[in-house]
Order: sequence, then C-alpha cells, then structure tokens
Amino acid sequence: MGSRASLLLRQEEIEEIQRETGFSHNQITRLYSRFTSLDKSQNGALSREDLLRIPELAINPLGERVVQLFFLEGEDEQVNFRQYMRTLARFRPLDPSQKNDKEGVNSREKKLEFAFRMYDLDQDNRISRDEVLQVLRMMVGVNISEEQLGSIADRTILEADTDGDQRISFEEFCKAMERSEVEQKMSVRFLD
Amino acid sequence: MEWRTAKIYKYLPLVLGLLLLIAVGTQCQTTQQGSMAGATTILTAHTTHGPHPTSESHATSSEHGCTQPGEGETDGHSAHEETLTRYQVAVLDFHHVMSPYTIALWIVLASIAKIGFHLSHKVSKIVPESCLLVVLGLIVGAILFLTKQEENIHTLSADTFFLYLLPPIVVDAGYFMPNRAFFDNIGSILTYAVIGTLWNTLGISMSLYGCAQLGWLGSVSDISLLRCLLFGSLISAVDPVAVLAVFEEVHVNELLHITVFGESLLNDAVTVVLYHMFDAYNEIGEDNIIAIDVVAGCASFFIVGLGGVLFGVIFGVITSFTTRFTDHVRVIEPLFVFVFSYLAYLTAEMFHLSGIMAAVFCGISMKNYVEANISQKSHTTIKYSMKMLSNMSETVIFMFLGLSTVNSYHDWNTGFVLFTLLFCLVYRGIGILVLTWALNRYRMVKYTKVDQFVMAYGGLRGAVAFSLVFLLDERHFPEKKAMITATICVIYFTVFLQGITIKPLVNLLHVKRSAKHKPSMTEQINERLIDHMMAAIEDITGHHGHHYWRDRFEYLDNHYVKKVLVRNYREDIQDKEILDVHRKLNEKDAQDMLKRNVSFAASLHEMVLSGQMHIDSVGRLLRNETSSSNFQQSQSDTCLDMQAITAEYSGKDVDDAELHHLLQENMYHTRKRHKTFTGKHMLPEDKQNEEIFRRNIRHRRHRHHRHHKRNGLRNGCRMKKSSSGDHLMPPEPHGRPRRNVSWSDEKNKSLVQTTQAPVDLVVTAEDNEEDDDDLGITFTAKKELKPYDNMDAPRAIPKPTVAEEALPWKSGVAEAARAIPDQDLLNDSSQPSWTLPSSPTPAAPPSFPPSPDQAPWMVPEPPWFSKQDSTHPSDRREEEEPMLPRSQQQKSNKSNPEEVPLLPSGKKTPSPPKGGAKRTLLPNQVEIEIPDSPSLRMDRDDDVAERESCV
Repeated sequence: MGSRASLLLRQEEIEEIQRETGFSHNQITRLYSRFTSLDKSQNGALSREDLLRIPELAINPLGERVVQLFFLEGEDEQVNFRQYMRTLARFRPLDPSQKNDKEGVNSREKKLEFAFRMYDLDQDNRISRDEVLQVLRMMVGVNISEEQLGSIADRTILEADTDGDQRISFEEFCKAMERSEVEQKMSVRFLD
Repeated sequence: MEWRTAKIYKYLPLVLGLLLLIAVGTQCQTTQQGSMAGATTILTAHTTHGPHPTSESHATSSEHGCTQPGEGETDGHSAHEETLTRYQVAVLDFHHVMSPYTIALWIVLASIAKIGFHLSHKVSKIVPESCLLVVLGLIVGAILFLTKQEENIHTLSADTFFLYLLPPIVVDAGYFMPNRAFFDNIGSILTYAVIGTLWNTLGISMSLYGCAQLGWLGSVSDISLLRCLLFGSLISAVDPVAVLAVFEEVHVNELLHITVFGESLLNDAVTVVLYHMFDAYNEIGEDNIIAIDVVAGCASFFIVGLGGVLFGVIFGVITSFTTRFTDHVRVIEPLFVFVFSYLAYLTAEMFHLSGIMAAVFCGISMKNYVEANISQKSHTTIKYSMKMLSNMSETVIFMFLGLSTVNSYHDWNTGFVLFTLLFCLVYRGIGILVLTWALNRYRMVKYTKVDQFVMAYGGLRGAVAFSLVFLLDERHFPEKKAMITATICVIYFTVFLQGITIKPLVNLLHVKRSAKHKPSMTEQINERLIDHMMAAIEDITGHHGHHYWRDRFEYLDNHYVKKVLVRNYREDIQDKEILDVHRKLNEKDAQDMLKRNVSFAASLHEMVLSGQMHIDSVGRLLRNETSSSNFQQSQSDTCLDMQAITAEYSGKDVDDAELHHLLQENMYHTRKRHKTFTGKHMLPEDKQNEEIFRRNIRHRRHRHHRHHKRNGLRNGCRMKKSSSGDHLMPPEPHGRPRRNVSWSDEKNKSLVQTTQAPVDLVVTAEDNEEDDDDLGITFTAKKELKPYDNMDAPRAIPKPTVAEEALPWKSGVAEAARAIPDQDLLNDSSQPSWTLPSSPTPAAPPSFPPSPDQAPWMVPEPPWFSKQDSTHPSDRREEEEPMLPRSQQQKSNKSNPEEVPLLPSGKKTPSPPKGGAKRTLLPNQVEIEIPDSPSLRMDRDDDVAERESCV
C-alpha cells in the first residue's frame, strides 16, 4: 500500500511536505496511504464526512471537534493532503534539541494552539465560558445539570483568567498549562 | 554505638525493645529444649498452624518436641498432665500462648525500633529504614548468637516469607499502583522485567560457570551449569520489597519510579519460572533432560506469567462484583479487598504461578470498581490497613534478614562472593543500557542517561532471593552454604551501599523529582481533552498507539464492564474525573474559607448578591457568618460552588444542611454516593455518641428503676434531660414518678436496644432504612410511644445551619404540615415530631418517619436542629405554623419552664439532614445539587436574622 501511495505522490511533493512538516519520507507515504483510504470520493481531498466516517471517531466525544480543526486551514469544506499533513505535523514528537524552538511546526506552542482551538470555536482567540461549557458537555455528557457544569466552567475560567475579562486568551491558556507536559502528551509516534 | 553518645533517652524505646526481645529469647530457651527452636522458628512453625494456637496449643507443642514440662514457673502445662496437681490459683502457662505471643513481641519490637529510628532525624535522613532494621536484626542475632542460643536463631523461613510476609506488600503495591503510569509504560516495564531478568540470569550464571571452570571459585569450582543457572535465577531478580523501601524515601519522578518498581514486581514471573525450571532440571539431572523438558520450560513462561495475571484479574473481578452488593454491610468491605487479593496470591502460588503477578493484577483490576462501590470510610480503612500491614511485613522482613544472617550456616568463599557481586552489578548495568537504548527508539518520553543510571543502581536484591536460596535442597546443592553467603553479601551490598548512596546520588545528578502540585481545574479538563483529542488524531492517522488503546479500553470499561461491576453506575456521565477534581477543589476552598474569617463570608455574600455565584451552594456553609452583620467588602478570587450533578432539583435545604456538616467534618468525605447503612453492623463515629448515650441512659434507667418502681412522666423527662445533657447529674432526689407507665416498648420491635427507657423509645435507628453509613440514623418516633412533654430544645447540640433552621418552614415539609389540621398534626405519624405535643396523652405520638407520599428527601426535620434556646421551637411554631394550638405551646413551655427538655435524638443531630440529603443523591453521584434563587435565599436570611434577634 505504501509503495502504491508513493507512486501517486510525486517526489517533489513529498520533499516539499518533508521540508514543511518535518515528516520523514516513509511517514509521508504511510500517511498518504491513510489519506487515500479515507478519501472515499477519490478526489484528492477529504471532506468532513470522510473523516467522520471513521468508526472510532464516532464514539469519541470530541471527535467531531477534532475533525473540525482539520478544516480550519482550507477555505472550502475540503482538506487536501498538504493541509492534512500540516495539521498532523503539530503532533510530531518534539526533539529535545528543539525544546526552545517556538517556531517549529511541532513546538509546544503549536500543540497548545491546537488544544486552544478545540475550545475556541468562533476563532476570536478567546475562550469564553460558553465555549468551555460546550466542551465540558461533550466530555461529561448531557445528563448533568447546567449549574454543575457551569460552575466547573466558571472555575476553569477563573483559574486561567489573569486579566479579568472572564475569558481565556491564548497566553493565559499557555500559562495555565505551564506545568503540564504537553510536549509528551500531545505527540504521536508516527511510524516510519 | 555512637548512638549512646547522643541523648540516650531518645533510644529508650529501642533499648527497651531489645531487652524485651532478649527476654523473650531467653524465655524460649529455658522453656524449650533441644529441637524446639527459638523465637523465629516458633514464628515459622506456628504460623503455619494458623493464628488460633489456643485450640491446638498442646498438639502443636508436642509436635515440636515441647512436651517436656518447663522448669520453674511454667509448669502450668504439666499441671494438665499430672492429675495429682492441685488446683492452682495462679498459673503461668507460657506454652499456651507462646507462638502468638512471640509473633506479637517480634512485631512490637520491630515497630518500636522503627519509632526509635525516626526519633533521630540525622540517622533516618542518611540511612534508609530498611538498613537500620537489618542492623537491628543483626544486633539481636549477634546477641543471641554470642549468648550461645544459636539454635534460637533461625532463618527467615521461605514459607513464612512467601505465604505471610510477602503478600501484604504486593497486595498493597498492586492496589495502590498508579494505573495510568503503569499501563502507559507497560511495554518498557515488561521489557526490563522479562528480558532484563533473563539476561541477568543467563549472564550471571554463565559467567559464574566460566569462573568455576577456570577454577577461580575455590570450593565451588565443581558447580554444575544447572546449579549456576538456578543460583543466577534467584540472584538476578530485583526485589520489590527492597526497591519499595528505598525508592519510597527517594521520591524520584513517577516514570522512573514506576519503571523500577514495576520491573521488580513483574520480574517475579520470570524468577518463579526460572527457579522452578532449573530446580526441576537439576533434580532430573543434567544428563536426563530431553527436549520436551526445555519446551515445557519455555511454555511455562507464558503459563506462569499469564496464569498469574489471569488469576489476579479473576479475583479482581470477583471482588469488584462482590462489593457491588455490600451496601448493607459496609464493615466487611475492606475484608473483601484483603481476602480476595490474598486468595488470588495463594491460588497462584498453589499452581506454582507467579503469586506476585496475581496479587498485583488483582489490585490493579479491582481498584477502580471497588473504589466506586465502597464507602469513603471503607476506602480509608483499606488504605491505612494496607499500608500498616505492608509496613509491618516490610519491617519484619528486614529485621529477620538481619537476624538470619548471624548463624554458623555460612561458607565464605571470597571468589564466589566477589564474582557474584561483580556480575550482578555489571550485568544489571549492561542490561539496562542495552534495553534502554532499544526502548528509547520507540519511546516518546525517553529515558535519560541519569534515569538509566538510577535504574541500574536501583536494582536492589532482597528477601525474595534470600528466601529462595534457603529453599534449596542441600542434597542437590552441595554449594548451598556458599550460595547463602554470597546471596547475603549481594543483598547487603545493594541494600546498604546502594540504598544509602542512592539518595545523595539522586540529589547530585538532579534527577527529576516527583512533581506534586495542586491539580487545577484547567489542567484536569485539558488533560481529558487532550486524551480524547489524541485518540481522535490517532484514529484519523490510523495509528494504533497508546491513546488508541486507552480509548478503546475506556470505552469498553465505561459501557460494559462498569455496568456489571459498579453499583448504580451511570453510563450517561463520563469523565467523572473532572467532576471529582472540581469537587475536591471546592471542598478545599470551602475548608480554607471556613478557616479564614468572617470577612470572607461577607465577600461571598457580596458575590452571591451580585449573582456571580450560586448562593445556595456556599451561603449556608458559613452558618454563623451569614447572619452576622459585619459584612465587609473583601475580594476573593475563589469560585466556591458546591453544586454538582443530580437530577433532583428539590430538597435543596436538606442538601445544604448536609453539605454544611460535610464541610464541618473537615472535608472528610471526598466522595459521596448513595450508600446504605445497616444498623449494628456499622460503628461509624456518629453512632458512637449514640452508643454512649444509650449506655448512659440504660445505666441511669436501671438506677432509677431500682429506686422508683413507679415513675411519672414528668420526671422521666427530667431524667432524660439529665442523661442527655449532663450524665453526671445525680438522679432526682425526690421520689416522684419518673416515667410514664405507658412508655412500654413491647410494640417497639425495631428498637435495637430494647429497653424500658423512655428515651430509648423516642428515637431509634431505623435499621432497615436505606441510609448512608455516614449519615447515622434516621429518626423515628414510634406511634405507641408516649410523647414527651415539656421538651423544648435539646442541650449540647451542634449549632444548626441556617438551612436547618429554615428547613421545616421552607421546604416541602412545612407545606405538608400546614395543610394538615391540628389534630392530624398530632396524630398523623407522617408528621414531623417537632410539633411537640405537650399533653401526656399517649394518643398523640410524635413520629416522623418519612411518609411514602413525601419525597424521599423530605425527611422531616426535628426542631431541635434549630437553635437551642427553649423558646425557639415554639416561636417558630407560632410564626410558621399557626395551626398548632398556642395553648399547647404555652403549656408546654409553662409546664417545665426551668428544664431544657431532652430530645434524645439530640446526640445524633447531624445525622438526619444528612439522611435526607443523601437520599437525593443519585447513585454514584458525587455532589448535590442545590438550586435556589437569590430571592429565596434572601428570604431565608431574613428568617434567620429574625430568629437570631429573638435569641
């Protein structure tokens, strides 16, 4: 499968993606085969439905939200392989050498940004109480009282909110997650 | 002995313990002859006879050749045999209690020694406790040895060790295993445990064999390869007891800890296989081994390891399933955890599988479900009992390790000892390096060089190797003595040298320590978010990594397993960790807040008023503060909201009151769920009061009964009052009748303590009532009871919460009460008994069991939950319940104005609101929902203020 996929993918494309994302050649071909197997319509781009068709995603409480984030880059409702890889590049493990590299595609900041976007639906770079509430509801379930979740959301906001605007900015989010080992937690060991 | 130079009194316990032990040893010596071994052997031999030597002490004694009557004072034993001996007033029969006595003394000595070590911070800071215990064992052993009581010193018997001393430690290790860390690193742990141990075994034994062939080992040079392999298998295993003892004091980061510790636990499977395999091969004989034996040996790897896991999981599931039904018998919950884990261990041992694996996996598999089923108190009990037992075992093991060293059963072979030690260290180091290099290629979080060093350095050997080497059969192992010596040397080297130096080294190398910080809500939520998110990413990329499998497992667990194993499991609420953390944070905040001052309450009040907070959740936490007038403005950044999930939107006052008590008890109950309680099986502390109370009452009653055969109601009440409030109050001197004769209890079947005391009749625990064990008692006044007149309010009752004060009038109970006319109020058993009838007519019994038509949470609140002043209930009744005849009220007050009437239930005051509240909880739910509106809240405050002013 891998070799067939690499056939479909031109060498210069692979190199370009390699430069851009840091994935190895093997990883790119492997992911490309995954990409094509997801792409039921065979048009070189994934639609929301393509991704949501993955059975495991259906039971993931945040699956839909994650899928949504794949479509942030593209203007239309399609994501091509480049965009797909760009999103996945955030989850590459961080080398110890580039620990302080804030610009890398897989830097801590980029990883955190992805988590931040999980909340920030309206993309105003602020997490509001409602947005926290929505995520909470997805995770905990609907059979829980509004007050209960609301108080959790309040607390979350209160903890992270340093400038008192009742919303969490990305900086505040990073600060709140300071002690968390995001680099490790938000990394996937992509197979070579 | 430089200790003596220090303040000697510090070591007094230690010295005392030593003297005690020597005394015991001497005693054993004088009372036993010849083959009857000393303390240690007694421990060994007798423990196998079970802990009830009383029933079989004679049999046991004779078995061990102890039938000779002891000289001197211990002739109690012989008294039984010589029929002519006259009856003796006092007997000293040491044999009768010898074995448990000796065991107990050993444990006491070891524990006292432990206290002694910790008195000196200097020593205990530098030297690990395990080393000190070994040293103590050595000292005791040396004393016994030098006093020519050598036969008293025996080794740590393998049976005692494996059947009694080791299980508590591994059960504890398994049950309190950090599951997430363990399973996140299971691959690495297994690699180190299996391949690492195999490598060590092969490496050490082959090298030793090579040395033997070269003739470097002196007397053991003719050792066969198989015997080398066997020795290698027992010496190569890292010992969980030693590792635990040392690493618990070192506090390295979780990854390092779980790796070393997990390895030490899981390598047991390999050790067991290799040991049994080589032992069997050795018996078969080197020349007779055929291919099938080798194949069987390899197959047994899987059987032993997986079999142990299987038994562990089976017993874990059984335990979880059993605890699902223990809600009526809370006391035995911890028992199930202990006994089933032990059974898992023993069952595995029975089949020669890895008992350690079984116990560890039993603990791991049961923990989550058991914790969801059992009560908070059982949880605490399990935690502390387990820690205590494992600590005790550990103490005894290390002491015996020292003690067993001192005997003449040694064969010092310098070459053998040194080469063994050298190979142990070298192969451990190489194994770790190579395996880590391989693992790091696949690991996300790589082991650093420092980590590797600590892991190699932390490869301590201990009592497992020691016990195994003693198990060897000397007929097949002529080198047994040399092996024992070498094993002891390796153990001492690792435990002492490495154990003592590992701490400074960890400091020196700046090993990442375990980071302990208060979990924040943000982090908790985000961690769950990241878990889900990563699972989704892995799904999208088609990568089946950690997240994928954990996600699968969680799905299975949440949707299938927990349904079966957890009582009242709610599938519709996931990620309960978030709720748990939230609740814990809130409780902590509330605690802090209560510790702080009134101004905080004021600020809360402000926040409530400004609508920032859900008032009902916090407001009444500060029962007194809320009504205090000196509200000050104060900024607080803490969001305090004690609300949590429930589908119930009613009964908020009850919940509030419950919450208050919860908080008042120092946030003890971190988890709340629907728990049940069955009468006398439980002795929660809130019942203790009741017990004491009852006993006092009974006592008093009997006294009164003797003096006054006929009692009048009036004095009966007096008596009650004195009993509840002031036990020391002398009985009434005058002979007026104290009890109403009609207070008969023959119909009062549900009384646990059936007595004639009127007080007992008034309130009783409703045993069949489903209740939380934390709640204590539901109050029920029986219909046939004579009502107590002239009772107004109780004494010595905790201050009620604001909510409690307001309760009957604000909650549905009051509504129900209003709707019922006077007469009904007095007669209807469904009415709360705070409508205290003053007339002594037995027709109007105050009783307040929750009537079926009431919502379950509406447990009627007795008035004595409110302020204690005597006028209070009537006041309130006037205000709130106009239907109660005022004359009655006045009569009630007038009839006995000087007495503060007793409400027998007063002692149990905190319980009923809890009972009420608990019932609102949905199963497995963690919190209570207290919806309220600010207006109502204000109402209540007014109400309170009013009442306060009355007071």
